[in-house]
Amino acid sequence: MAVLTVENPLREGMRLERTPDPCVMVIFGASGDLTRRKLMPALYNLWRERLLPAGFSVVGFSRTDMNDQQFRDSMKEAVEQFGEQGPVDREAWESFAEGLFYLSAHPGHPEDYASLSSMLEDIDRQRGTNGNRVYYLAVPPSSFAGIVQQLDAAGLAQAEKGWHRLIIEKPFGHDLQSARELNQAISKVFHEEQVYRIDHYLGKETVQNLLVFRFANGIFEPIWNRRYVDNVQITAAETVGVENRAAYYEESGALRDMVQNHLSQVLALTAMEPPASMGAEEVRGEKLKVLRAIPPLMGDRANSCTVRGQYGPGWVDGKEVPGYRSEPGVNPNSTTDTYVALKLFIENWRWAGVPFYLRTGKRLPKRLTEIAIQFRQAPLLLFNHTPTEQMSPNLLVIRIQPDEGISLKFTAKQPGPAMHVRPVTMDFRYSTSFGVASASAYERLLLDCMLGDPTLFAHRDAVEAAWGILTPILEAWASQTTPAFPNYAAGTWGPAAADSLLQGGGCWRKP
Amino acid sequence: MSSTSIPADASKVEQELRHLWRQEAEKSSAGPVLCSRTLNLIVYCRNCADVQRATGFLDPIISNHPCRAIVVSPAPPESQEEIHTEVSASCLTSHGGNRYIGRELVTLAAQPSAHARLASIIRALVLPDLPVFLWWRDTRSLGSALFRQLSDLAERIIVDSAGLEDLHADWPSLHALVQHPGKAISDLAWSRLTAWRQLIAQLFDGQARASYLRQLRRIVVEFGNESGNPKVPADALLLAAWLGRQLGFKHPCPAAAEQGAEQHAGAWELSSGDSRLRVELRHGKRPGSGVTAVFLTCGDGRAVFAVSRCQDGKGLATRAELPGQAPMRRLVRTGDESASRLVSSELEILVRDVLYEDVLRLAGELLPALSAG
Repeated sequence: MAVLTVENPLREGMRLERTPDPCVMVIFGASGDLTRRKLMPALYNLWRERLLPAGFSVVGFSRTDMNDQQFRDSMKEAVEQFGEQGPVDREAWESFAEGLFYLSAHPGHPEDYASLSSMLEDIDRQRGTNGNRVYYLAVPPSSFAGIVQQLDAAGLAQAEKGWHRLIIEKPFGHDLQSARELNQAISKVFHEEQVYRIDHYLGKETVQNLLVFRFANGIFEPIWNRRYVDNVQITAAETVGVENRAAYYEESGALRDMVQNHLSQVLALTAMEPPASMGAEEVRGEKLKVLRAIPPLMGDRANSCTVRGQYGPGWVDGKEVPGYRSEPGVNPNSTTDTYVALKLFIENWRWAGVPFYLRTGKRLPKRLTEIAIQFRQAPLLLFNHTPTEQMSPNLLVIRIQPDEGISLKFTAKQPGPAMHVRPVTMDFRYSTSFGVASASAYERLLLDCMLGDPTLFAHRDAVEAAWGILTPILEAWASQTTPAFPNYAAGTWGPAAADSLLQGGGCWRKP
Repeated sequence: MSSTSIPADASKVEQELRHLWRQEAEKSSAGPVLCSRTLNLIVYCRNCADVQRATGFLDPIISNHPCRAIVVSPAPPESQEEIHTEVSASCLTSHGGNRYIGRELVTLAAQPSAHARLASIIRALVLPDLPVFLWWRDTRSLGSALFRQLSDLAERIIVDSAGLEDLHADWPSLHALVQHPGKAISDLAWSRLTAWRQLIAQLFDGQARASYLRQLRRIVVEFGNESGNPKVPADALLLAAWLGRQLGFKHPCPAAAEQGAEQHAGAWELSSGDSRLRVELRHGKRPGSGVTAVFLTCGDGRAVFAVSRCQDGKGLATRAELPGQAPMRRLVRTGDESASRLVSSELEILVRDVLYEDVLRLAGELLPALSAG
C-alpha cells in the first residue's frame, strides 16, 4: 500500500520506506479540541519516529488571536497533555516546533486566504516543501463547503507544483441528500483522489489485520460464505455517555454517529471479496460492492429489522450514571437514539441469506468492538448424551478493541470415561504475541494521506452507499411514533427488543 | 524467576518446562494462563560473563517476541560437566493485563568436545513450525563447526560486525554468510545505521533536493572509537559503501589522502559514467564510537548536507546549507539503540536484506584501500 518516493535513490531498498515528501499541513480549526487531542500528538510522534521529512511544516489557521510562538507553546502543552509517549524531549520539540506557524484568520474572509497563500510560499522557500499541501478541516461539517470554496477562489486548491490534498472528518452529511450535496461541493474544487475522508476506525491495527487474516491465510476464505456461516454479529459498545458532545449527538444519534461510518466500514471489510491487489482502488472497490449489495430497509422492514434505544439511569462499571435525558445539554424530552441494532442482508452469491447483525450503543456494560462470525451447527449430533445447549456452534471472534485479538470457540471432549463435551476457546492476542504497542490510528492515517495512499479512507461512493442503506431507516423512524424512551438501563446490553431481531430464537453475544 | 539445573537431555528439558508451566498456572488467580510463543531464538555467547549480559538483553526482547530462547556458551574451564543445563520459564503480562507464558529460557554451557551432542540437543529443543533465529555474539568464531551446525537450523542469523577485530582479516567470514542461499543475515552494525540512512535520505526528499544528489562530489564519513582503538569501525565502512551503492557509483579506486588530512583512514574515487565521487573515511573529534558524522558536498562546495551525532550522544542532528537559503537544521532523538532493541527489530523480519548484502560486497571492494589502523 506504500507509495514510494521514487526520485530519491537513497530510499531504494530501505525497510522503512514510508516517509512522505516534505509538505505543509494547514489545519483549519487549529485551536480546537481535535488538533490538541489527536492531530498534534500524532504529528509530533511521527516526527519523533523520523517518519516525517525535515521540511515538514504545519500552519494553524484559526480565529483565535495568537502568534507563531503562542501557537507553538499551546501545541507543546497539548502534546504534553495528550501524547502517550512520555515527556516531550526539549530539543526534539524545538526542532519540530520550528516548522509550526500560525495564521489568525477567519475561514469566511477571502483576504485571509491571500495571507495564507503568501505564508505557504514563504514556507516553501524556507523549508523546501515544494508546494505540497494537506488541508485538514478540523472544523464542524457546516464549514467544509465554505472553506473549500475559499481555497479554490484563492488558487490554493489545485497545485501548480507539488500535490494538494484535503482531509475531512465525519460526519459526511446527515443523510443521503446532504452527503451528496457535500460531495458535490467538494468535487467542484478537489478531484476525488485529492479527498481523504478520515475514519479513525480504519486506522486501527486490527481492522487492517482483518484483511491479512482473511486473505493471507488459506484456511478461512473457503468457509467464509453462506454455506458455512450462520450469522455475523458486529458490536461497537461504549461505556461512556454523551460526554461533552450533547449538541452534536442530539442531532446525530447512534445510527448516524457510528453505523454510517465505522460499522459500515467494518461490515464491508468483513464481507468483501478478495481484491485483485491491495491497491486503494481495488480494496475500496470491493468494499463498495458489499455496501451496494445491501438492500435498503424500506417501509415495514425498517421496523422489523431495526431496534433503537435510549439509555435511562443505571450503573456502569460500579458508578451510578444519569439517563441520557438528564445529561448536560440534552433535551429532557429527547428522542435521540443512543443505541441501535440492525439486521442486514448482503444480496450476493457469497452471503445471500446470512444475516449480519450490527449493534452499537452508549452506556453499555463494556467498551469493545468486535466481529463475531458464528458458523453453522454440525449437521449431526453424534454425542446424544450431551444436552443440545452444550453443543454450541463454532464461533470466531475478531476483537478490534480493546485487547485486540482473535479467538475461536470449538467443542472438545471433557477428560474422563464419559463422553461429555463442552466448548473451549483458542485465543490469539496481539498483546501477547507482539509486545509492541501499535501506532495510533491518527498517526497511521495522517502518514498515509501524506504518502498519497487512500486505501484506509472512505471514498465518496462508499459514503453515499452507506447513506443509501441508512436514510430509509431514518425516514421510517421519522414517520413513526418514537418508542417509549428510555428503554434500556445504563450498564445493560440495550433494549430487550433487540433480541427479537435474531433469527431462530438466538440472542446477542454478551462479550 | 529461578532456574533449575537438570541433566542435558531434551526430553528432560521439555518435562521440566511443562512442570514450570503447571506451577505458573497454579499460581494464577486471574483465570487461565495463555501460552504464546512466536519464534525460537538461539543465542551463542562468548563466555559465562557474556551469558549474563545476553540474558539481561533477553528480557525486553522476549516481552516483544514471546519465544523459546536457548542460550549457548562454552563451559567454564573448571566445569566438570560436559554440558551444564538450566531451565526457566516465566509469565509475562500483556498490555491488556493478561498473564501468559512467553518466556522459556534454556541455558546450555558445553565443553568443546560435546559440540556434536550439544547441537543434537538444540535441534530437539527447537519448537516446530516457528522460525529459528540464531544470534551469534562471538564474531571470532563465525565459521566454526558449531556455528555451521546451529546456523543450519536457523532461518536468520544475527551478528554484529562492530565486533570484528580486524576488518581486513574477518570480512571474508562475514561475506561468506551472505553467500548462503537459504539464510538471511542481520548485522547489528547495519541496524545502527538505520537512523543515519533514513536521515541522510530525508535530506534529499522532494524533486528540488533530489537534484543535488546528481551534483554530489565528495562524501566524508567521520568515526570515533571511545576505546581508543584506531581501527576503522565496520559501520563507517558500511555507510560509505551504502552511499556509493545508492548513488550508482562503482569501481572504487584508492585515492590519496588530502594535504593536511591527519585523520585520514581511507579514501576512494568511485565512478558512474563520467561522474566521479570521492568518498573518504576519517577519524573525527566528536565523542562516541562508530559513525559520528557524515558530510555530503556538492560540486562547487556551496551546497553541503550533514548528519552528525549530538554532543549528548542521544540523537542525530541534520543540517542542509543551500545557496541563497538559511541553513535548515533538525534534531532527532534516535531512541533506544541497545542490543535488545536492535535484535528485537531484527526478529520482525524473515526475508533477506538484499541491500545489506550488496553493500557488504561493495564494502569488501573498499577494504584494500583502508589503512590497517
